[in-house]
Amino acid sequence: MRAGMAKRMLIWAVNGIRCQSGVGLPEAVIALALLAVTLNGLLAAQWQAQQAQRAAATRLLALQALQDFAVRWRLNPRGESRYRDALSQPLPPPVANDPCQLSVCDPAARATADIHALASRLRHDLPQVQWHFEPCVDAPGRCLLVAWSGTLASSGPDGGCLDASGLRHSHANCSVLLLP
Amino acid sequence: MNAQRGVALAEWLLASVIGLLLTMAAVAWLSSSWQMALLQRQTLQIANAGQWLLTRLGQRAELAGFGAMHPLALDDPRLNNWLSSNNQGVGKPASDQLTLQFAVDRELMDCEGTRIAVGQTLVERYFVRTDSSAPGWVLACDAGQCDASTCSRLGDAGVALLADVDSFQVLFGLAPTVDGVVAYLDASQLRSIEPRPRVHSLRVGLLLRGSDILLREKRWQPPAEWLGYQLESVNDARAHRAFSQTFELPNG
Repeated sequence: MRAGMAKRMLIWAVNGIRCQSGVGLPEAVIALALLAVTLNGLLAAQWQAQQAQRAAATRLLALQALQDFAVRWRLNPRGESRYRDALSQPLPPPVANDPCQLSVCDPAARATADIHALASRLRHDLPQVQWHFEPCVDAPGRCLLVAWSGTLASSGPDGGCLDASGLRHSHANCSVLLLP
Repeated sequence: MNAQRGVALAEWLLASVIGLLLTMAAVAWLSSSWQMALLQRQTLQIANAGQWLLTRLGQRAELAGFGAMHPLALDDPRLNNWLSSNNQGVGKPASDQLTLQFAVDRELMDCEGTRIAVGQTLVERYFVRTDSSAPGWVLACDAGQCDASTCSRLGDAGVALLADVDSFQVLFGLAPTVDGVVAYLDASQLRSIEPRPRVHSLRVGLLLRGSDILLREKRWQPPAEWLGYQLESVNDARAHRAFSQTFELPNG
């Protein structure tokens, strides 16, 4: 753009004409377009960085909740059937307190309390969270799929979390806990 | 021809207004981005710090009790002054102390960085205190070792493991009864039981805050229930997070 202006001025100088003009509309439009493209790129880069950071923090919280639940289940083997039944249901609503936290509880009551503790934690830490308990695609046993932020807790050819071979989709917000 | 055209006043004004708007938008965007980046960085830092400490405690929990001894050292009267206890008066809510022990079957470093020889019993005490390195409370670890005749190095201030700790809580899961019934107790309840009960699990709670001050105060909504506590929501210019993790004591 600047080279063009210099050329025009040179021609005018050669012709003996002293002429000076401002910035034309096309130049202004091009400058604004360049500015818009640059800003758009910056905004997109920043948004993606934020999303990646948020996804990493959220995934860590999901893993911590699932790790805690896995240990609770292992410590309460007699509550297994209650765990399985409760996980087969949709995510229960959050509860105000854990009745078995400081009280003596039988295995079934403790299993129910553990499920509610997990559900409360997931609901507190993850947006739009859901779970699905189903046979694992790529391993014996059953898998607890926990998905959040709009990802479907499902697997298979049309799965939102895992594909048909049991691999997690690259952009899926979900974690999987392998259970016996 | 002698033509010279300058910039009219209206054009100057228009350019100034557009420039001002662009500058204001840029400043607002930068401020908002900085705030967002700070908050996210704090959130991630706290999550990583909590995960690091819980992983570290988990490694010790796996070893606690190894060598046919009580994982919490309840069977050694020499350690009575340093056993796990609750409500130490430091922290909000008041923090607990956790003491674990195990026999060393291969040379390792304790939490203070001292090398422990094979055949010794390593005792580690985790507690909350103030420290000159940080304005708030820190989680510290004091390590010592025992052999058949004596115990040494235990009872000092230890080393600060993690700063910006608001509270450290521990519950102890007893071995299940024949009906599979399990109870979780705090340290004072546990120590009041005779004979000394077997402990199969630990439930550890950690309340952390961010190290940086955010530009604006933010409301933190705690989980509905945290190791038996009903925490209140907090308006603060720092990020907060409550962790809880259950650990199995395989040698308990």
